[in-house]
Amino acid sequence: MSFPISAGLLDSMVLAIVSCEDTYGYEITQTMRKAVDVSESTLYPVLKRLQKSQMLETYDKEYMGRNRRYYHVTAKGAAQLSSYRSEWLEHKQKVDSILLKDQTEKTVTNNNEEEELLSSESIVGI
Amino acid sequence: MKRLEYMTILRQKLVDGGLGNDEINDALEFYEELFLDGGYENEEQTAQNLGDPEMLAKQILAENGAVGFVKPQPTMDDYVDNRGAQQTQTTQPAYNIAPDNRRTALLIIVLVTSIVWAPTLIGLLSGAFAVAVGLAAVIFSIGCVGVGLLVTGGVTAFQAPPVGVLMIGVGLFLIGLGVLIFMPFCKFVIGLFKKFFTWVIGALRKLFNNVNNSKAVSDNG
Repeated sequence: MSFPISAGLLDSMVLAIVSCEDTYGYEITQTMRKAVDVSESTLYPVLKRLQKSQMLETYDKEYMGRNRRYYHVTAKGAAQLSSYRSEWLEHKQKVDSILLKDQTEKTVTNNNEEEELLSSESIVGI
Repeated sequence: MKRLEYMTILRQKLVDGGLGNDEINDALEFYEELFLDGGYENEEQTAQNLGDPEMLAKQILAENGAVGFVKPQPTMDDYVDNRGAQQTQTTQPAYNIAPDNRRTALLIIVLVTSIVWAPTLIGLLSGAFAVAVGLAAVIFSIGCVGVGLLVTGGVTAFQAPPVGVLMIGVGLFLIGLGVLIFMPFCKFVIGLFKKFFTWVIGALRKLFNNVNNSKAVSDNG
């Protein structure tokens, strides 16, 4: 992919996934892989880092005779996530203003719709 | 590569890298979970997604060395790709003040300071022992006085029967008292010393075990 995923972006995406619902490692990796091309091995350090900085906490739950570690977003994590989201929106708009400038001028009406669609998508997808 | 093989290599590499036991177990649990949730029939695929276990181990080691220094920032310049991983690896030497060394250091501190605390300990122990023996002797002597009174009472009983009977009575009473107190007291004191020594030996063994632990784990792994 031409656009590498930054550490901050990984952190914010993982936070967003867990904030929807407490979930476990495998599901987080699968959800991430749907959107971006990351290896599972990239996500362990991300989860670890988020735990160390107290954005995520964990608890174990039994599943089919073994333990599954569930992740939960802390208040600190939730605050960080909302700041990530606004930063992302700002960042995206700046990039779009250059990257999609040509298109904006050509189809003003069409693009308004598209931008709305994109921003709503980004909120869901983050 | 199957789960078992993958996990074995990963563990070995993490142990070789000097990572602490807690961190190793934490990482292994995470990847074990991925394998299990991925399904038995997909183990090869999961292993392929995770990539070379040796690389993964290096990455985990690097991340552990860098933890605390990495402040997540949503900037586009700290790429998380191979280049990034190799950059963070340079922080590995900082990590190499391995947790195992802390245990060794603790042992050395305990041994060095033993010059100070060992004589104190021995002194206190001897004192406690002396007190215990003294008390035992007092109790024992009560029994002896009892025996003495019993014998004297037996003799006196022929000359002045009432006094003799009194002395025999007191003598028997003292013997009974001595026996009643002496036996449990000895048992109690011996039990106390036993407990103390077991504790000391246990503490020492724990300390030595901790130091040898990393070796044992690598032998198992």
